[in-house]
Amino acid sequence: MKTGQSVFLEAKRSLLKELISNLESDFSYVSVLGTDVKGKQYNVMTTGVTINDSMWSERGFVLRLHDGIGFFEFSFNTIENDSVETLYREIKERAMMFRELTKSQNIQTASTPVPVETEEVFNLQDEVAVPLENLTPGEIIGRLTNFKNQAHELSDEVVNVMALMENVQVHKLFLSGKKELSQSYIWSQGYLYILARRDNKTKYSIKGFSGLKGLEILDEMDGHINELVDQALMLLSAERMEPGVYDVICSPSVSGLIAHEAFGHGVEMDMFVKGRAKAVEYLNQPVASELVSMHDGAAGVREVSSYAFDDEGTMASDTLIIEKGILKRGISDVVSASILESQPTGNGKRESFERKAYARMTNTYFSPGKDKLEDMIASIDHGFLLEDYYSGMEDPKNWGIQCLIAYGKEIRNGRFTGKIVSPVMMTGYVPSLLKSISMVSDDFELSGTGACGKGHKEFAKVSAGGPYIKAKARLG
Amino acid sequence: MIKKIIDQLNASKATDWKLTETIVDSQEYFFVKNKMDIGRAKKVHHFEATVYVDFTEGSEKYRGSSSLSLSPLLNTNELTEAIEGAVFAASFVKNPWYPIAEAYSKVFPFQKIDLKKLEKETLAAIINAQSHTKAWINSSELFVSEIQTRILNSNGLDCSYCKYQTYLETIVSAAGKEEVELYDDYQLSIPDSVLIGNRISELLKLVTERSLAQPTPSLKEIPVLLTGEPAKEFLRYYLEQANAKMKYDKMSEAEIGKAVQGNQSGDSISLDIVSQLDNSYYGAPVDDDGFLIHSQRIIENGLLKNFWGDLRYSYYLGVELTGSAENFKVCPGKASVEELRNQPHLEVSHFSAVDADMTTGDFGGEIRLGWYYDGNKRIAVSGGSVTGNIREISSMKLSKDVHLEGDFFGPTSILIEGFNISGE
Repeated sequence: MKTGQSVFLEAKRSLLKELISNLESDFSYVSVLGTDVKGKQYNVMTTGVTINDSMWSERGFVLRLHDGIGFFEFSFNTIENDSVETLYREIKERAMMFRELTKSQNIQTASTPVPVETEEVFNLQDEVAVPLENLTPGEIIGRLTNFKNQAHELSDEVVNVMALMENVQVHKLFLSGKKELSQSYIWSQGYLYILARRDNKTKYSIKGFSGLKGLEILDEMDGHINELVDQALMLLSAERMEPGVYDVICSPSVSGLIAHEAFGHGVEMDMFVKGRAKAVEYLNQPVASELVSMHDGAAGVREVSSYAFDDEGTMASDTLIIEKGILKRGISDVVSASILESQPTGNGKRESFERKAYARMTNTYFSPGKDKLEDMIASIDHGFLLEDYYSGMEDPKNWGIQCLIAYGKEIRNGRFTGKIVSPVMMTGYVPSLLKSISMVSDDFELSGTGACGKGHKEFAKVSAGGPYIKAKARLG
Repeated sequence: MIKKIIDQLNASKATDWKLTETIVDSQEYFFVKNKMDIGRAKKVHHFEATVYVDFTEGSEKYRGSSSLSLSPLLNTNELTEAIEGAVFAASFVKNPWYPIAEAYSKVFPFQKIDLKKLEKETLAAIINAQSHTKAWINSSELFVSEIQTRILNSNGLDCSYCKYQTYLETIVSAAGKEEVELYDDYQLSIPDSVLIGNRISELLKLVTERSLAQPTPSLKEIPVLLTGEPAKEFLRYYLEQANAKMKYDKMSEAEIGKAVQGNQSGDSISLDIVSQLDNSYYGAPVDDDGFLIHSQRIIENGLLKNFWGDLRYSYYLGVELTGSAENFKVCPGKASVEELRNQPHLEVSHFSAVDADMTTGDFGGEIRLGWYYDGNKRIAVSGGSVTGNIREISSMKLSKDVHLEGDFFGPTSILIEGFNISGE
């Protein structure tokens, strides 16, 4: 069923055009992004139930203008028939105040070209298999409660369970002198979380589900409780990692984390502009094993960061970042691309209409290879299969990597020993890690739960994944 | 708009309701090196409502709730539909009953300042900081906001307060064997150009040290000295373990009157929750329920005195209500940072990210900048990681030097025994 258009944005379209038209008499470039994002989060825990609006809900506008010197933006969420003129004056005044302040402080302005756009009109209304209206809140809570009850029936050591589902309807409207773009789509995510305790030790297992999906996400969550309870109980007897360098096999989720943290952040081209990306020095040079190809793009795959156009009105694409081990190109927003004299790749994303657009990842992944997982396990004398992760952090300038991995399953002489280590901190120098990749499986999984930050803020939806990869890594 | 929302909430089938109105006016400056990359401003108006629906089953009383964001541009039909939808959803939420905040009416005093003047001084401080050393500011982002908040509920509570928030993200770089950088975010209430200038100067010194750093060696059985943000995040574990919601959700095993630190030697923690710290980004006189926050001792000499938290979870636990404070304070230790540095140790001031799990106590991070002291000389190091579990450390010593760091005021450094170090 198709996602309907936003009545709110459609009602404001003509007012926004009027505002743009007024401002175009004073400024070289004017555009507006309107957002109407509505979401609900249903959360059943052993200790309570909540139904709240999603944290991704937003409704408002961000206006971008270029005054011939540089860019200025204004975020607002009120516009009525009688307020266009007032808003026009306020935006103009604040833009001028900003420019006067920088001049009075003798602050130089970065030279950013005025955007050159071509005529474009576009409308997308995406579809989901099971519309959000198909179940009442009570029925959704009932489904999630069943997951919770199943977990408690399996073990007395389970002390809390969380079953969460979130559905978000995204409507965006981008208007400028030459563009008139609109899109509507739905993404959903779910989590199953099991908290287990034995003596004084507490551990948890967690599994995420995501996609451009509706209520079908609930069906995908079904049937995973047993494995998650087993995993949480297994972690209660996990041992500490003995620090060292090991052969590792990374699961698709850990591969995705590496793709995202190791290279994704480092090829966000606003980092090129700032001189914060080591990747600039390695364009068209080998940075990984020949077995490695890596993509990012809102087009090409369907996950939570798939869309038709980005928050700057650039159509989505599929960027091949690493091709057979060679670093080919980065991903960019409009401003970075104009400074670097390259083409924007549709990666200009905002946390919300209230925040600045940056070059951001969308769906980032390693391409699958030809190896079989069982052959990869059999090839290891002593190492670990690394499964799931809690967090990761990038270091685009120095190509360090930090991945906090949920657990590792020890392998000796090609077989699992039964020993589990948890948690596992994987660190190291990114090219060394990627060049050490010696086997790539023919599996492929993407996951888009959680959020990605730029530094420690500007959270945005992304997905990441890939196949199983075999590499050498420092674990602690 | 607010009257229209209140009328709709009163007309709905909700047993009770809470409404928060927020108006944010901000100015944002984005620098790349010493040039202004882009300027931004924001003026937004938000409403967040929570509706409560009570029902009984047998002799048990339950309270369902649902919260929703309300755009100031909603028309009457949309508003009615949104509130009725939330009330309908709340009727499926079966939680043990809890009260909402009692009625009172207050406008908290607020001292207006000349924000434009301070912004100018701060911009000058950022620019001037770039010209003094061989290290430089790669990029920075300054956000200065004035935030008005009003909280109302169906009991008749109506309080409002205003605050400033200043956020500065700074990336500094230096060239040594190779070019390196350090990341910093600095959070204050008002943009204090002196504090910001000092912060950047210190960062420039630190990144210069990182440019000369050697790979972290493989070290065993050596104490780790956490300094700055890592020390704050380490201590946050004890704050969170004393939180009423964490306890109710079984993510905390803390018990009133019992030790929170386990079997470890060294200093015992004394920890307060605090409504407002001088120039803290996070200061507020009331919590999200509108409840007046009481600054209070939560942990004293390593023993939990009381759980802290909001109305709902404090009521569930049957503990004295403190309100959900945004700041915390930890009492200093006996030794200065310099004294803590006397024995061989690895000091870490910057991890790539501090991963501190508030439920399990697992702690770790990749070292971006640290110093190894072998008893004779102190060298800057980078790379490798520190890992361990806060519950399993064998010793902790807090510095008597203290500082304000975001939502925390307390020891700048903590010397810990029992962590693993992974190096080359």
